[in-house]
Formats: sequence, structure tokens, C-alpha cells
Amino acid sequence: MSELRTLIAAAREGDARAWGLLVGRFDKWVWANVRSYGLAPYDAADAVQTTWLRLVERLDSIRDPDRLPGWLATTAGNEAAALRRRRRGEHLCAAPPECDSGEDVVTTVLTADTVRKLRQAVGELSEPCRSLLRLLLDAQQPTYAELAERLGMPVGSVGPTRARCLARLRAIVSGANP
Amino acid sequence: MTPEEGLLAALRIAVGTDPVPEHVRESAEAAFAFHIPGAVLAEPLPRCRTAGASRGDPGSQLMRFEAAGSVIEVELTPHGDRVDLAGRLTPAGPAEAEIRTTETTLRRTLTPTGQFAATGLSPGWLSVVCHPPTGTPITTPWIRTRR
Repeated sequence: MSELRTLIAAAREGDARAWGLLVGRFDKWVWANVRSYGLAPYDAADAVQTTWLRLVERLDSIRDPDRLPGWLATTAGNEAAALRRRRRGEHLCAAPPECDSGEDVVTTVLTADTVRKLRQAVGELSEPCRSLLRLLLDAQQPTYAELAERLGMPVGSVGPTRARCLARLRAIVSGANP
Repeated sequence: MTPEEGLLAALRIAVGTDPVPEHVRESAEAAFAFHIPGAVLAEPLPRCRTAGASRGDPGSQLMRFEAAGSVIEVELTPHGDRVDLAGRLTPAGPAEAEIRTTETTLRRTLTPTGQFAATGLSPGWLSVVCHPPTGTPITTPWIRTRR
């Protein structure tokens, strides 16, 4: 039985310590997923709390505990996107996620080895990718206009550069680096 | 989540420049208090938003959830900075309802027609749990009320 399966089974039986271990294992993961949507800390905290409430309400019906990291990422992303829409005055009803996004560098990020690979990959990037990623990861979450000013590029180039740099990073981490 | 957002999330953890605030971690741990072992989660029915719902109040939200052959209806009506709740369980029968927010839990005995209500709730998150005298509790998902 996997460790995750054991923890979830114990939490279902009311073991608060098991729940605490689940939170300790995934709270950075959930927070990081929500923050990647550009939410302010107050809204990010709200979306994170929602994600954990969703897990509590579905604790008894989880079929495959080993897919929990993907489920948390999908749920956190949906809640963050919904909150972002609310802040923009849009109103949509989103169904809860039923599945994760499959195996990927992202869903295996919680291993120490993947963290090491990501850090190493950032170091292998050339400019402007290295500076752009450093700014994107800033807790202050700069806007595209601020990024453009600090990197000395047109605002319209920030999005395509961001996409190109992340694709480059993904290629390095996955070993597909040409 | 797009692959780009997922990768950025992974980087945030790897680089460690955006740590989880302590109060966020505490809220996550506290969420476990809302676990009801064995409860059936009612799934939302398609009609998720109804302007001018059954009581005709502008801005009210009517939601319906179904599980195990029962339907829980929840209507939320904002009043200033508070929210009123009117609900109904069908088919009606003797049951208790718990109206839970992240701050408090209110208990109501359902009327013979399955109705229950609460006024002056804080905006934020709430869920309703119906407890038949015998059988499995039925809970709605957590619902975000306006603020």
C-alpha cells in the first residue's frame, strides 16, 4: 500500500495527524499552483482554503490516492481561475475536476530529484530567459508592463518570450534538450 | 491549468521564493474539522444560478444538489454584508440540517415540508448537511457566498 493510500485511509477514519501529514506534504504544491495564476496573497489564500475544503468533502470517495497530486493541482487551478474570473466580473459555474492532467514534470515535482533538476535547468538557461523567470517567480508578481520595462523589451514580446523560455526549461528538465 | 502555469508552480517550489504563509497552512489543517465520515456528497444539478429565484429577491442565488435520491435546494440572499439562507430537502421527512460556515455551525430541525432557514450568515464559505434520523448524512459541496 502506498504511503498516500495509507494517509488517506487513516484520515478517512478521523486521524487528524494523517491529515496534517497530507497538508505538510502538499501545501507548498497547492500554494504554488494557485500563485501561478497571478492572484494576490489574500485571494490565493482563499483559493487554497477552497482546495483543502474540496479534498475534505471528497475524502471518502477518492478512488486512486496516487493521483492526488494531479487532483490537487487541477482543483487549485480551477479555484484560482474561478476567483480570477470573479474579480474580473465574470460569472461562470465550473464543475469540480474529476481527473488529473496525467504524468508530467509538474505532477512529479514533489520529489527532491525534480526540484534539483528544475533549479539546475534554470541555471542552464540563457538570457533573457533566466532574468524573466526570476522576475516571474518574484512574490510581488510583476505585471507584463513591469516585466517589459525591467527586461527592456516591448510589452507585446513578454508573452511569447515567456512561452519560449518555459518550453526551453521544460525541454531541459525532461532531457529533450537539443 | 495550462502546462505553463503548472511549470511555473513547480518552479515556485523549487526556487522557494514564495513560501506558504503560516495562516494558510493553519487553515488547511483546520479544514479537517469539517470531515463527516461516511457522508454522501451531493452533486450540483445543472441550474447553478437563478436571478430573482423563488422569493423574487434580486441577486439571490438558487442552487440544487442531488445524492441518493434526495435533493437539497439552497437559496442565498444577500442583505447588506450578511447572507440569508433558505433551504429545502426533498423528499421531505424528519431530519436535521447543519448549516456550516468556516466560523460556526447552526442546527435546524426541518419543517414537515423539508424546509430550513438561517439569517445573518457571514459571507464566505458554507455547506449544508442533512441528517436523516436513520441512514447516511448528505452534504452539499462548500459554496462560496458573495462578498
